[in-house]
Amino acid sequence: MRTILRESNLDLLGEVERLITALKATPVVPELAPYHDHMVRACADLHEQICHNLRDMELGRDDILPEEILSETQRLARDLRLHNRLAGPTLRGLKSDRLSLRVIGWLHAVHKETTGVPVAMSTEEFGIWPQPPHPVVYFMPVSAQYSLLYQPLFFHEFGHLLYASHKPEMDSLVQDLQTQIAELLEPLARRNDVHAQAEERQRTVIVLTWYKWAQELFCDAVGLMIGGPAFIHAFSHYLRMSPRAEYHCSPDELRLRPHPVTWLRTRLLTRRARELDCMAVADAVEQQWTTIAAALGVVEDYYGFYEEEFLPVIWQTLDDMLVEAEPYRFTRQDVGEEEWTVDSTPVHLLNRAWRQFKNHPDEYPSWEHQSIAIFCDHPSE
Amino acid sequence: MTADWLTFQSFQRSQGVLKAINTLSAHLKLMLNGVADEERSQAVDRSAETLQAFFDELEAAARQADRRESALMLGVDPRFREFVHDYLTARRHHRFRSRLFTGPIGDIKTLLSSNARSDQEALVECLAELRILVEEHMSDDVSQILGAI
Repeated sequence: MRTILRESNLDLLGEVERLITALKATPVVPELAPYHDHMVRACADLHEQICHNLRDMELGRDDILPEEILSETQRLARDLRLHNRLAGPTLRGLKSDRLSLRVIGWLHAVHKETTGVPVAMSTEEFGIWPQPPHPVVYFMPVSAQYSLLYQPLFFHEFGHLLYASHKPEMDSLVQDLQTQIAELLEPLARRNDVHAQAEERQRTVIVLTWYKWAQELFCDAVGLMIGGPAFIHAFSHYLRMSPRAEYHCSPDELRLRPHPVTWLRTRLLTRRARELDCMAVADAVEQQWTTIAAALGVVEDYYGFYEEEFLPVIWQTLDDMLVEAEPYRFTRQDVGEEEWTVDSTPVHLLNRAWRQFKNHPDEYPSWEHQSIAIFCDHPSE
Repeated sequence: MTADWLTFQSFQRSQGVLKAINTLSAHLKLMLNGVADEERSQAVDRSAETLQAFFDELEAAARQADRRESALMLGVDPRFREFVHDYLTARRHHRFRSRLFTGPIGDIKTLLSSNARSDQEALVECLAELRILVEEHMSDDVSQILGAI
């Protein structure tokens, strides 16, 4: 076993050294520099931990620590594979990443929990790997990376980071919500037969499903609070041509589904948009989703996973979560008619982009091209 | 808008707990065998803190599962809920013999801060069995985050 472990640790050591060499040899755009520096330090730390394993073996400690050295070697092998994934955004960094990195960089800078947290961006369906205080990776499909229009969807992903940054408080609020939903689902009278047991199991599934759903709805609310109309436009455009399951799911499909049905998310988003005085976009988006649902022949039904009587407790929970997380709230200027300038926020630029896209679609590509160039070229603060 | 965030957090939590288990366990074993281990001393303190926080969460979730019908743990993320379920199942089926699986969960927190040799030996046993459970639990996360060949 000693030979096997020594060989594996030496192999890991060589791989980490090659990764460090590759990272150090790669030029990076300024927006990626903090993440890149972090990766070099993290790889150096990994190197040190592997050396520690080898030292323990040289000192003959593997007789005393056989399980520890084996488990550590396996753990470090997994860490190396993770570091290889995390190094991707810097090793394959593109100049075009700067647009998203600047939007995300601003987002992190205006929230106290995330100021200075290194960020990177990778290519996949929209997503995030949030594990504060560690660096954060955001994911975005390639075609969206070159445009302003879908940048607001990062604001939803950022919500997951805010949740993780306030996890004990957020989990406690979600626990209260789940308790209240469990109470609302409680039957007026209890039987004690097979049917009643099946119904109870279904109630349990519904209550447990709301852990993830609450977080997703919170992230939608964060996205809207930060991005205003730009977020709801991006959300709706990105998802409205999704399959039928985004409008209606069977009870089996709803079981432990990670996200609520998108039609329900849209309803709650438009409700909050009205609260935030974004009436026109709320009406327009709601109408579009209703029209598409009608064309699909879908009747709104959530099979007990959501009922209108849940709404007050869901709404109160989301409000409390927003108070806890304190996301940036879009300003009058962000959504106003004024032309965007480099002194204004990215939120202003993204709202301006959606207005341009809606009102002058033919001129939009050249307008966007020019705006991205100005946004990326001005020195960041 | 994928749900990878949960898998990633679960993966990182397991990796952190395993690191803490291995560091503390190695340190205790070396001490119990009369081998000085100054190199790990700072890491040992951090590991004890990590495990303390982990056992606090485990105890709170397990207490909920005991109290409610259908092992309904609320306000607990689904991956950790599955871990707690695995832990409680292992206890019920007498799969392991250490105090973590046979006595009150709170006991292990006492062991963590004890300098008594018998407690340290008991803690090493607890950590070895916890390691098995954590490594089993994280296999799904590993294939989702790192892929499989």
